[in-house]
Amino acid sequence: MKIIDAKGMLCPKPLILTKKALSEIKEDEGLQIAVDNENSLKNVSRYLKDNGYEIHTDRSGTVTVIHVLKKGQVFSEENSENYSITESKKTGNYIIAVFKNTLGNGPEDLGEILIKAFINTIAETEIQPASILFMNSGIHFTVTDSPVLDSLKKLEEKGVEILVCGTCLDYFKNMNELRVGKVSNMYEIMDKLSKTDKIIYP
Amino acid sequence: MNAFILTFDSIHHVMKAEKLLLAEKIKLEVIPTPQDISPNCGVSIRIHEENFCDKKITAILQTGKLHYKISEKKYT
Repeated sequence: MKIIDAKGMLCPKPLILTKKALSEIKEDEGLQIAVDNENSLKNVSRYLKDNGYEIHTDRSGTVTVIHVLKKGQVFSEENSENYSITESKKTGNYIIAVFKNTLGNGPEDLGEILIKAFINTIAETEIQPASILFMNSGIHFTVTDSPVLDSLKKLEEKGVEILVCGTCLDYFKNMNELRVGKVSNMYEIMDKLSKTDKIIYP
Repeated sequence: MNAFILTFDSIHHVMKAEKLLLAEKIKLEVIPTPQDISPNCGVSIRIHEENFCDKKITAILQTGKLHYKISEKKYT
């Protein structure tokens, strides 16, 4: 029986120790991991379950001991990144860039109605974007009288970051007209775009 | 929270309806037609129950001679 004391350790340390231990212990040798924070408990448990291990947890105060029975499973190295989430965010690592007030190329009235429907649908997708960026004529959706203001406010409450280009706001309206999100700039926008996994331009 | 979904025969009718309703200051949202109402691609108008007045809306849409269906949907 191998015992790992991962108390006081933050993700991904408990996971790394768990992986290492699992590769070292013998067939049918037990493993116990003690954690004291919710994220580590969730991430380690999920990783073990996803890789076919049976686990049993014992909670005593703030400490939970995860009991694992080795089943001769093979690990895939790539998966561990998915389990090192330090915040249980419900947003995915993608960005929606609304750089105009229409969707696609074609008649303007069709484009306008499509983009409205598109934005109103974002809140209903399973995994919301980490951020929604607004530039050029897209900023109209973030100011007073926007037809999609309620949807954007709801998304903001759910943790989706809403960034609005300051230059564009200034060009079209007064900065005071902003009703959702925060004023941003090219540096911040570029930073977000360069670090995300994918960008959707409706 | 309940809402009423207005579905029309064509996107052109949706656009016309949207214009008419907005002109009368009706609070609405353009959304894709919910799958359980129609699996075909389409756009509908959603009006939350607190903003929905049957008589008024019927009257407005009648001025546009628009044919439509109303469904009720629960939202969390």
